[in-house]
Amino acid sequence: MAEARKERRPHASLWDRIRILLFLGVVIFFFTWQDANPPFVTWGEAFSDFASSTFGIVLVVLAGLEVLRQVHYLVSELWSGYNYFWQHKVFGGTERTLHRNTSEWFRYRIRRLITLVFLILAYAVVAMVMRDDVSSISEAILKFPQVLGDVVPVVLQFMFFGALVMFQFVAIFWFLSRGGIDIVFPRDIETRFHDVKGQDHVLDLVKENIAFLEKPDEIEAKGGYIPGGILLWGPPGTGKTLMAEAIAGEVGKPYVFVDPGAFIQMFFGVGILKVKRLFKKLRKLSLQHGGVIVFFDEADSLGSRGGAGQSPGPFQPFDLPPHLACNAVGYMSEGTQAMLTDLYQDAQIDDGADRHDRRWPRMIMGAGMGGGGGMGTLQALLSEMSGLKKPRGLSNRMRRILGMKPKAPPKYRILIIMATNMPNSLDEAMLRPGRIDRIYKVGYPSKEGRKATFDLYLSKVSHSLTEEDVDRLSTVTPYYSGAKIKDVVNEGLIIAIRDDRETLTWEDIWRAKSLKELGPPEDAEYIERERHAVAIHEASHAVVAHLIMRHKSIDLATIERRGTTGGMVKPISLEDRFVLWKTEYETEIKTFLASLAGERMFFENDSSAGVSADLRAATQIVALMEGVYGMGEGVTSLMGLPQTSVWQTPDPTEKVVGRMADRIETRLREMYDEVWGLLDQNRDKVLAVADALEEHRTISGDMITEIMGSEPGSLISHTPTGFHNFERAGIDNGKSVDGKKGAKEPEEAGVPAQAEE
Amino acid sequence: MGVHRGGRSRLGPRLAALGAALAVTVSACGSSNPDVVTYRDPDRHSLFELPTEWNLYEGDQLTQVSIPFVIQGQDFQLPVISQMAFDGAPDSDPDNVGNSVSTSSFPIGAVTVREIGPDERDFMSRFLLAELVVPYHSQLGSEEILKQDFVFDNDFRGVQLAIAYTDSVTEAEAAVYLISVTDPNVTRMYSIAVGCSLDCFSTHQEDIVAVVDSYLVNTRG
Repeated sequence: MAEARKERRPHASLWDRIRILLFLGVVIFFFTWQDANPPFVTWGEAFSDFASSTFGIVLVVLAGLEVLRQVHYLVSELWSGYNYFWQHKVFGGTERTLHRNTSEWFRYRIRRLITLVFLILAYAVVAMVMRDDVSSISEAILKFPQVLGDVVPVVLQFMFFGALVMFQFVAIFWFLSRGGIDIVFPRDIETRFHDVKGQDHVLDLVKENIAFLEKPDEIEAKGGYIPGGILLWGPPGTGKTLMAEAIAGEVGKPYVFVDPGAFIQMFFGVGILKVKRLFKKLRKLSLQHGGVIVFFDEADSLGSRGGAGQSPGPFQPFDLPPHLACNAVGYMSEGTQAMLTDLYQDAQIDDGADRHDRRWPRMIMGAGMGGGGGMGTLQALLSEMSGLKKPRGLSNRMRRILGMKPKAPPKYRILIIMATNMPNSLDEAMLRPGRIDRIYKVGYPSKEGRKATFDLYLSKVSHSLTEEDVDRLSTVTPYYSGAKIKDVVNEGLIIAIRDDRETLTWEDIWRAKSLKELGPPEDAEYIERERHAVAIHEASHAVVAHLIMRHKSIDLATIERRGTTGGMVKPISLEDRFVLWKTEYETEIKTFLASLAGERMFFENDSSAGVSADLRAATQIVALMEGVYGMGEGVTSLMGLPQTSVWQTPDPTEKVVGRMADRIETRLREMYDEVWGLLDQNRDKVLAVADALEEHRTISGDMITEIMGSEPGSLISHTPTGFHNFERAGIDNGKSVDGKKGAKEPEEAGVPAQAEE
Repeated sequence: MGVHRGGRSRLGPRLAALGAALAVTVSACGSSNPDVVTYRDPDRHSLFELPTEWNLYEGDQLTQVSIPFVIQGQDFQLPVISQMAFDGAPDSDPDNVGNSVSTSSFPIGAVTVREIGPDERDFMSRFLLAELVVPYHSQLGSEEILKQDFVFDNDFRGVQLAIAYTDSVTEAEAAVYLISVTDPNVTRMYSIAVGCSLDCFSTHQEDIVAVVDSYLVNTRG
């Protein structure tokens, strides 16, 4: 309290002291100057005249009050007792009394009343200044209707022009916000689940959601909620769109297809309007038909809100770090998991290949905005996806205004299905439960799936393929999507028609497949000795591959030029495999080395530069085996070593080469010698295959088998060691290797160990 | 007619002398006289100077007096919105200005502002500007000693006139010096006029000219 008594008002600057007075003085001077006209009206008379007008009185009184205020401040700055009296006794006391005797609400209303009075006074002053027939405040108030009547036409005129301008904008945006949405009603959808081939496991999962949409009350009655969104992600052409159509066809609800480019707009706000319009339509359809399915194709076009600084991506469940990719996680502490995950993500950012796969698309869509997910469209979509339970509509607004509780909205049953082949481009918020509740990968179909798909499309054309042919075809087309299978069948049909045949043959399919996979050959002819050299080169590959490769089969061999490729031997996997084994890598390395050995053997130790790619591939594989895969002398993984610096990290294989060049060279040399021996023993076969290549340019794996006179892989002395052991232990693929879960004793399993050799 | 002729015979040499004197006096316009008082009408329409010994009458003093130099036609009425009168009589008496100008032995003058209605606006001319102050064209033996266009600032235009005439009622010779102008929109007529008998005019012509020449109109009013 004693301190408060000694407190003075802080010293004000000169500008703070005079600025209001200066302003008032300038205004008074302006009006005085306007009226002064010596000698008829002297300055004194002009000031007197102005000061006697109502506006002048207000200004002069204000100026007087300001002078008083400044004097009061000045005294408060110099005299602490005076300052204490005003601050704590007068103002403080009034404040305390007010707070004691009045409520906050009352004071709020008083403040509003004061504001209203101030506005009326302001109007009155303006009216007095602007109008000759108004000379006092009371007159201004009394003549308010008249003043209003005079002003209204002008205001209406301005409002009209304003409305005209607004109408132009509204009209433009109304037109722009249309389109991009196709509505298909149940009777128009003929696609059913049986039309979707090769994706049975995904279909089973999707059917669950259909049940939810068909019987929502059951889940809601038990306190749950209907999953509102499904994300189908996977490579292009695997049937995501078809699956969504099939869902709509099975459920019998309207199907709304959203054009991928619908939300990519030049103007800010159009995308938002489109989203709002879409969901308005969806709500209407949902009420009308008891549910609706909306399908966002290429959902990645919506992009994300983030920029360069955003975290790598929301798609962790499908992009597990290696240490979490197997059961290893079970015995790691949480700290260890977090540390390894961080290291993995850092490495992902450093990795150039990964940069192309994941990081760049996110940055392009996010930071670049691109008019898609940016510009507020994505936010509007997110809001609509999770905001369907809010009370809406004019009637609810009216109810709110009238103080009534708004009506709860009806239950909109909207199933949102999104499809993308770039799931990491999607915004993290979009994938949260409540928006997208189910995320399913629609991958490449399995062999059975491919076979079913081939059967489907072949059933639509006349063909001579046997059941065995189709089975074989499905075997040699790994990673073929439904769309690609359809394309191959169609291409085969075109070839048949071009040859004036009505029936599609195995040869047509095989040519179509080669054409689609390899592209059309160039119209370029080798000189004879070069053609022979290329033929020897490819024949060496083919012979070695035929002799020692069991996990793959030769699809074709060709010496036709395509782009930068002079020729090739194209192997295909015989089974859907996900992991290769050491012995299989070795057979592949030997197949690569065969070209160099063959050229040296048949051209008197001379060789061409055409082996460079083969040697590079062989070296890289050996390097990975030695330094990464644990298939060499050591067990250290160079991938686990810290990276030196961002963006400049050499490829791990290059590190291996740098550190283990001798080991790599030794191993390559050993395999090269082995390949030399194989080729030396089969010189006639190499020449025979080369002759066939020179004659036919492209030959099939069957022809090579025929020339070789033996089954593929006949020289191999074993299956991969791992498989050998599994089979001996009687454990199927995909089950645990620790002998606890799923392990069976050979006798119990009843599966005889495969006899090798 | 005879009066007219006679008047003219008497007026001739004296008017010549008066004209010469006026020419000299008018050319000396602008010279300041410390023995003058500046007056302004209450509505600040106009401003003029009077010699200190002259008398000014305004407001209520003039309610019972017929103001000189304010002529209204039967069909041509210009309401007076401001008026002041003065004289050079030794005694101050508002009735002085009600006397006939032609018989007055001291200068009598008036400063007036009149409103010009829309109907009259199209008829206003330099002729009327003078006639509405002194209708000398209908008087006998009237002579325009000085007549010229007069312009204030902001395009306030009118006429400056010195005339001598014989009053048809009193048959006395009189002279008047006046300025009469209108604003650019021809909504107001501003005038000052000072006159008295011819002898009086000759005697006080310097003061009369000074008073009329000091006349200013508030062109921003």
